[in-house]
Amino acid sequence: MFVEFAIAVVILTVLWLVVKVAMAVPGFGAAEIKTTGVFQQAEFSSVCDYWLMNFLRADSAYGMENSDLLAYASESATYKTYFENEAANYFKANYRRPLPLARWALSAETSAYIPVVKLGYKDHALAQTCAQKIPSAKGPITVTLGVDY
Amino acid sequence: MFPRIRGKKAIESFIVVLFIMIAVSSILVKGSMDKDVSVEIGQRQAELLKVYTEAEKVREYANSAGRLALMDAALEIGAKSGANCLAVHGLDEKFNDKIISYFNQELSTSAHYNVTVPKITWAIRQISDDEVIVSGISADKILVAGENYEYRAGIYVNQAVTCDDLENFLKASGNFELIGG
Repeated sequence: MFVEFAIAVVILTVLWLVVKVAMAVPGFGAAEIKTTGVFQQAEFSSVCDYWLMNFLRADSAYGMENSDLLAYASESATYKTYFENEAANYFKANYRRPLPLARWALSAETSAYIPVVKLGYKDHALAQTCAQKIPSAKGPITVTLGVDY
Repeated sequence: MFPRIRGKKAIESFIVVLFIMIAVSSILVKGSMDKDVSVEIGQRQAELLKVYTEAEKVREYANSAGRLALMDAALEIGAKSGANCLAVHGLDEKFNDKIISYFNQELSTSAHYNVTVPKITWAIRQISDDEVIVSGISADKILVAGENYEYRAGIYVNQAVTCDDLENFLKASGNFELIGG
């Protein structure tokens, strides 16, 4: 009786070990946990910030920085046209080829919420947006860039 | 009713059947145990980068403000383009009047961070009749305060404005009557 009991215990122990080993083998019993690392939260649009900052401080073809062109764009139709040309050329030339920038949209408004310019993609809001204020004689202008990449 | 299997043969059969059952079950269970886990990484790094960027935006604003205030001031007191365009009187006073208005509003664009801009002491230095340098410095630092971080950054402005800058501005604005004066 005791021998049969001992044999049963041994058999069950062996079975338990077999199951444990089987469950630990990848592709057989072990669970595969597919981990996807998602870098940064949506509000941390560092790439967008980088693009916007570099665009605003870049020299335009008119001998002035783009931010200076925009500062005067609220007062002058000529400056507005210059700025619109600069923005379109800059984003096409600098970012379409080296980086996979799919869409961009740029808008600017005064501190009194009066629109100054609205450029680029318009169908819907883009995934990442960022903003920067630039000075003008009539108060800061808020420039907002949206990007899909 | 059932065939009687005894002794060693019974134990062998028992083991084989159990092994097959456990193996099949573990394969079936495996599918339900697979997981897709999405983990956010780099939040701290991203937040540090963000507070740094916010401070950098204020520095950019101060640089542009110094440059624009000087050009506005120069034009307002009668500077024209061409040689010796900055040989004008009263540039200091006019510049000081202008620059104050650039810093009387909130400069942050982020709802996540409070940005405190320190008081900047401005000065202009006449290098020649064709060039003026605007400088701005503060004993305090730009403070960017987020939920988890505070970042302090120094501010120093050094912008040169030349007669060429003034001419470019006048050309772009269409004020051709002031060019070559």
